Amino acid sequence: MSDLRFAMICASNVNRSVAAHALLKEHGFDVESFGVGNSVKLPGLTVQQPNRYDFDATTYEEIYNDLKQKDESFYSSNGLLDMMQRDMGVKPSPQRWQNRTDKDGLFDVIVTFEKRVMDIVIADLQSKNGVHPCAVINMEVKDSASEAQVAAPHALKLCTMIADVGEDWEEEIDSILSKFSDETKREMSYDICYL
Amino acid sequence: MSTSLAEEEAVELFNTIQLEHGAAEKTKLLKSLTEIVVRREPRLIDIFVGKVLELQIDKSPAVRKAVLDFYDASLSAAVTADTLLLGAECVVFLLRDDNVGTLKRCIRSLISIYQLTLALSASIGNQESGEGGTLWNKVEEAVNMVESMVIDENSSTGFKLSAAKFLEQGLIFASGDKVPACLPVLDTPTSLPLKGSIVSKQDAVKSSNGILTCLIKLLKFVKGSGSSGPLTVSCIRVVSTILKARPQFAGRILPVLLSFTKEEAFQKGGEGKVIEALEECLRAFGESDISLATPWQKKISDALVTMSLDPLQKIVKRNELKRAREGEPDSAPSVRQRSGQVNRNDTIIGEKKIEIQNYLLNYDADGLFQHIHTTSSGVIADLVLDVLSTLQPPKSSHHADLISDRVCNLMIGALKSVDGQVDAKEEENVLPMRVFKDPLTPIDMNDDIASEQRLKVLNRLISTTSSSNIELRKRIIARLLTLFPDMDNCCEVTVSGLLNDYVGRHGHEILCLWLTMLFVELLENGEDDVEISDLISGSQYEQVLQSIIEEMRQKLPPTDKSLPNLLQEAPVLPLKLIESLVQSCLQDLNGWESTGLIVARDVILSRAQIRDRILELALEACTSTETELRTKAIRMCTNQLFGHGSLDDKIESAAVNFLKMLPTDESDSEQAKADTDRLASLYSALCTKKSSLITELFATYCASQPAVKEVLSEKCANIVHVLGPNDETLLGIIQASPEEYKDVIIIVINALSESMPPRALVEKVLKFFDTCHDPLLILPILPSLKKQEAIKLIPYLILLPVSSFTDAVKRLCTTVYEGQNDPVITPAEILTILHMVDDKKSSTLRHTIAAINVCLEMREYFTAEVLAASLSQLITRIPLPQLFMRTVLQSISLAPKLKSFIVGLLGDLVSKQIWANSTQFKGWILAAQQTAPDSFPVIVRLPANILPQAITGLQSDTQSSLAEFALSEKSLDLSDNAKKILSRYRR
Repeated sequence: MSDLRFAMICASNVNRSVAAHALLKEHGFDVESFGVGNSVKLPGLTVQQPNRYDFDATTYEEIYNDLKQKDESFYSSNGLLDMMQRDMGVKPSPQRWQNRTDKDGLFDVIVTFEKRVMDIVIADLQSKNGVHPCAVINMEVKDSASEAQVAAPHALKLCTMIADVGEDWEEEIDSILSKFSDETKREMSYDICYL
Repeated sequence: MSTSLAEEEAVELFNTIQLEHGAAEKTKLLKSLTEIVVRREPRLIDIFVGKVLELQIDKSPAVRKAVLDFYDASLSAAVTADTLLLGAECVVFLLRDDNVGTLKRCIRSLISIYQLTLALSASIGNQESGEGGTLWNKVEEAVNMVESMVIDENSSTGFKLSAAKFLEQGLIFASGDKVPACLPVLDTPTSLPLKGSIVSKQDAVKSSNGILTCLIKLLKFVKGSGSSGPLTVSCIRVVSTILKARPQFAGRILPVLLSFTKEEAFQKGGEGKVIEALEECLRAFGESDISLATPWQKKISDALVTMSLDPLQKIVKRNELKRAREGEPDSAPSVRQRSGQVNRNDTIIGEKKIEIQNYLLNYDADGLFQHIHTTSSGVIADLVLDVLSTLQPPKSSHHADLISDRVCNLMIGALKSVDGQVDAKEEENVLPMRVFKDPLTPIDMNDDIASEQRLKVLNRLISTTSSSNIELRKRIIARLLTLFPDMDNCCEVTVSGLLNDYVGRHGHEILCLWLTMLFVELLENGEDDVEISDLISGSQYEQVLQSIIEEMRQKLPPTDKSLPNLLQEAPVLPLKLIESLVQSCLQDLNGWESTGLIVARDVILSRAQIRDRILELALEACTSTETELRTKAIRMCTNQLFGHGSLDDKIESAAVNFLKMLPTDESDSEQAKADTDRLASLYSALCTKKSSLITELFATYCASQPAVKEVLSEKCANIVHVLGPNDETLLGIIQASPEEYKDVIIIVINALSESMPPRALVEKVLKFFDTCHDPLLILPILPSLKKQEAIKLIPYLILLPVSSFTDAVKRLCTTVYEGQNDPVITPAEILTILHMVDDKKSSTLRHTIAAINVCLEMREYFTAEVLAASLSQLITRIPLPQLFMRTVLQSISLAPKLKSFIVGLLGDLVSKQIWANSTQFKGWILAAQQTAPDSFPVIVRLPANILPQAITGLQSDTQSSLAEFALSEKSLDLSDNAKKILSRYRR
């Protein structure tokens, strides 16, 4: 296993990023996950009434309890309660990318699951003038539990391919993404930033 | 947790880390140690940082990274020169690692170390800092390693990517007027000191030059590779950041960047990310309001078009204005219009332009004034000039005057309108506005009249000093001048007019703007592949610059620095012009030599293209027969040019060549001395900056004729005075010099020993002394010797001529430096040691006798008491020193009051059976004779068998007196035999 560190990022750090986080963690990767939204936004009982929670301050367990208390059968049927239970096993609470501190350390590869999220991450990196090179790779994934489950093994495959190259991933990044894209039929884009 | 507990915990943890063999566990423990030491108890950083950095020897990349993580975290809490030095040493060590991850990690630490070293230096100014010089040397060593690895085509892309960021950050930190704020060391941007104890301004400039050169090489490398990979994109972004922060480097960066656009790989249809990055970079700089971007806008715009992209908006607007001025229909649609995107702003500006134009054409000053505040100076200036070109020709020369007055008044009025201040003197020149309401009837206006009108306008504009719209006035004059075809007249009128009140009339800004506009036109009209030097040759730009220089040379006093200041800001300097200016200034003297040297210095430091020839001129001036010029040139070359890496070799080599030209003809010693002073001064001055150069001067000294030697010896003495006795390089040279350098080394040691020579100097001199044993070498350092060293050296000192030996004795016995309690050795000890010199050789004995004589004649030091003390010492020696009795005899005559003391000595010698040594005994008898009758009691103590020999050696009256004394003194216990012998001498 290489010394590379990975970050999985989606909007709310609940579904796509945590699904990938869980799988990579299970395979021994040094990985963290984050969201970039202003708050953790989950579907509510109606489209007009989504559930909103604060990043970092609210734990997955608290979200689980809240949803269960609001309508257990509804949130069971749409898979949110199972999702929260899985997330609880990965880490305590959803974390916001923009609020990270020195303690969170640096990452070599950042995988985002939506172009909008990738743009936010790149803008954030450019504003902070870091010096550690990192790849920001976007894999477009629809924000649904089933899509996230399909995307997670792909994220694992991508990270494995990069980790196999090791510290000199910059040399190979183009060919890795091209090969990965051919094999998975996923449209990929990336940029090199400094973290 | 209490402090002591934290420390104990940290120590225990560190010990565990040292014992741990597993990299993963070690890394984990290091993280815990960081938590305790850096986050909980930062005061422990000083204790642990060095120890943790020692763990770098562990070859595991993970451990090495963890070590640097600890180090970087410690830098965020506490920074000293010592911790930075430790970090720099570690980085230098780890940069030799093969692991890409470790190398990348090193770069991160190096960025912090580089920035903090500059910040610390700015923060402490020129105060002393313990490891200052060593720290910067080590940081530069690391930087040099990174630079050479970056341009190595075999180094990895990952490393190059990290290093590119270092180049960006390093350049921005080292090249600004001020070092940016950098916590925890520097709260606000601060200038570096000119002579910093860690990093001086000069050091930083040198470093930034190296970084920029490396960055450009990297840029050329990625261009050459044709790669569209992440490295190319990152490099373009890095230079984009640099262009924004440090636009002064545009001249070096943009030519390379623009050459990208000619490569097919980087044109539309090529790799998207590179195109995007290139376009973003070029557009951001080209569209910026940075004045240094102006000359490049046309080229950038052309490059964008080459890439099949939209041109710069600034160029589109400029072209529209130009077309309007030239009366062309504004029919050519802009790129945006072609693509159907009509920019609303363009429409507003267009409408405003027509409105202003109408005011101008109708000479409606009031209408124009409304727009002064809301329209940019450049636009108004261009529009005012449009009036000149679209005027209907006047019907008579009188009418022509009216037209020029009308335009001038309109413009002058506009300039003054803002605050309504009208200078009384200028008011007289302004015609009443009502005159201009008359309609104009066209007539033919020939070129001469047109030229005359323009000159009048120019004159008026130059003489007005309105303070309210300086920018507008400057732009109008500069644009007018740029469009002017009558070069000779307009230069003279402009420069003369401006020089009447150069500051008040904003002469500097106007001339700079004029030159910039001419240069921009030159660039816009020139072929892309033509060298700038070819482009300006014979151009209007060159002619104008030449006229300005000539006018300023004629009209300004030599003390005025306006000319060098202007040249410093001119967009480009033609070599021939500058060469001729510098040469004429250096020949004219009377103060102009200073101007010539300032121009030369500025050119050498900032105009790489023409540097070499001007440097040659400056160096030639360093051997001028004019003392003042020579002194100033040497001072400039040594203090301001030497020390910039790239110039050093050239300056050194010129100075060495001058040394080779030293006179060999011995016929005219005065001329030889003058020539030597002239030719060796530059080299001598360089020696004060780089002490290792002095070796060459020593060699030259040894090979020179006497008159040259005399001058060189003075120069050597002056150099070492400046370097001081603690200069390690100089001390190394003294120690390792070959024996033939002895004479010059003696001069050097003398110069270094005017105050107490430091111990290091003494040791080096003693080592050199071991190779040649010339006592003149040790003469200057005698007062700093340890007693034992002095004792060992005295046998060599006796070989000195009398005057030098006297000096040596004085230095040894009397000189007491501050910090010393006593002289090295007392006079009594010297006298004693002199008697102990190995005297087997007759030549040595002769020198010893002479030395003792010198001492005994120095009565103020070698007093009766000193003699007594020394003799008391000597008498205890077995065998008795050969010259002992000689000194006793001399003492009797030099110090009569010692008579009884010496009689005592004679008695002691009887006890020691002095007669056993016949030579000494002869001396004893003489001493007994000289101290008689006091010596009688001692003489009679001799054994009866020795007594006759002694008595025989006495004078006859002494003999009888002795006999009388001995036989009459009842208390003497004489043997019968003795009495019998003595009675023979009784009268």
